[in-house]
Amino acid sequence: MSRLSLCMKKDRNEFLRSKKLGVSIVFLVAFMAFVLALTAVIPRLTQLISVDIEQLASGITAMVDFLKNYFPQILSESMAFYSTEIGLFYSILAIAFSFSVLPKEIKSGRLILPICNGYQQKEIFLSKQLVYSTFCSVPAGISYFIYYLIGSTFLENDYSIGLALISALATTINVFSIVAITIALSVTYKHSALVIITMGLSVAASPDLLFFLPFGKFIPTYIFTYLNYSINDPMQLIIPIVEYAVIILLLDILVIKRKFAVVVDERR
Amino acid sequence: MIFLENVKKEFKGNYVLKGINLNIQDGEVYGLVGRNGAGKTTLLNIIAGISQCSEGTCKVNNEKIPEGGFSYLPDLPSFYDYLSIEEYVEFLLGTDYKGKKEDYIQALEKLNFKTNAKIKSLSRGNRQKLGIYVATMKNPGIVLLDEPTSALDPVGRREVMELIKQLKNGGTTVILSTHILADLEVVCDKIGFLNEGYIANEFDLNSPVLENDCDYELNISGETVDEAFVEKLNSQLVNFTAKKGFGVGNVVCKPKDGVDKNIQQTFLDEISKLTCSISSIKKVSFLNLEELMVEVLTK
Repeated sequence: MSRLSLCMKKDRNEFLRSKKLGVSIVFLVAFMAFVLALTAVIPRLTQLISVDIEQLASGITAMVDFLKNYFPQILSESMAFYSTEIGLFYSILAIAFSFSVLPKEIKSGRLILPICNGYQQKEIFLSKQLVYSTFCSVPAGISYFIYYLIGSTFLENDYSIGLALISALATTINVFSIVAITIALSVTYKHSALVIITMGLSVAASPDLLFFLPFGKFIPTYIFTYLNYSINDPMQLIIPIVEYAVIILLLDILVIKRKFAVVVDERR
Repeated sequence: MIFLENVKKEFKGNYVLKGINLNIQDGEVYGLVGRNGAGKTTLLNIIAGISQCSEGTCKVNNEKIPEGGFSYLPDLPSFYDYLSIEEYVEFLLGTDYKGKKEDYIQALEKLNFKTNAKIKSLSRGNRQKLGIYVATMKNPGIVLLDEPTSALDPVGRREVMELIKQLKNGGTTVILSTHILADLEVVCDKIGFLNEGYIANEFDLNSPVLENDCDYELNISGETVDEAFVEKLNSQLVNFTAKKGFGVGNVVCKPKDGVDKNIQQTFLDEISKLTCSISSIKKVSFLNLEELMVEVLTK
């Protein structure tokens, strides 16, 4: 077992025992239930109720029409709503999980004993990045696919399972990259607030703004747009995914080459 | 050998260390003393290789100190609280000690640790004991201990002092920073007083100068106090022997064997005949390191 895998084992325990995975899953299930309720369950229930209770018919019919107007009962559109929830709220939650993991360890002095026992900064950093990115992103991808499976039983299915799988993978890659970049920036920037601002703006504002620009398709945040509109052309994902990989690689090289402060005094 | 020359450390234009010169021999136990905020932890961080000095040279055995080069127990050690003691020790042992984990676990159990307990359940004193154990478990050549006994009860303190003695007997070089000066008296060969960014004074605890309280300290002005000067003084003194003292320009005069130790007037008569310029005379009457520290740091 290499030192990197020992670090990863330790970080896996950290993630699981700090209940972060539990919180991730609870949020994802809550989003799933919320979106399904809006797009599928409520319109369906109101239709059923309206048949049985005639006196409520007129009001309920109006409600059904309203919900159908805003939440059409088509799977691809329903999944687009769910993607938006993951992209906006869950990604921000993942940033909140990850922006302080390494700075907190530096501040508490927890890195000193491992480093004085032979661990290298790059092992500690890469382990944290891999473990947190994986544990935050895989549940998001799985939940996306589960959403597809559940949604397809209620809603008009206009989305193939293959496309759903690719979109689930894109969701995973998207969240993975966001967390990986957040962790790299958290040891590059001296102030955590800058990390939150940079990543928060990238996740919340850039996808909508950049989509309207001519080169919008060729930047990493296009993955958000792709998922939020349930676009059926997986080839469009290649450039943003490659860019994500390049950004992460460059940031990792920067962190490993420059090294980060292990003791809090150095970060002042 | 640990060698530091003119080591400076600056934080945002403020120099915490202004020019540290240190020379610590192999197998020596060196005590680092200073007031709060004097820069002891900063200096240990630099020697441990987890912080870089802003200026100066810092070498061990003529080589640059590598990142995390030595075993170092920081002040208030911090652990991964969610791990059990066993998991933490396994993690720190790393890959080189594969298969030997059981020996280390048994050693911890002998120290009354429940190795399957989570670290977060340990008291402050036990955390410190665990820290000392993990800092020394690989039998390192150099160990840096920052306030290792601050949270320990008297029995725990004594155990740590015994451990340091064992390390010393095994040839390990130890740098110990503490405010508990009685601990230093027990284990150290040499102590350095860190004050205002410099090593203000160094004392060899094995030196006879500190052994009694009837020496006289002269401060000489206008002369370089070196071996030649001390020899010249000794040729002029009858009942006393001069030695180079601590600090710039200081000479300590000690009564020769058989001379009545209460011969202040004799001493004054003798020094009145010396050819050098003496700016001050005082009786050296340090009773212990604590008085010595107050004397040095408030001078």
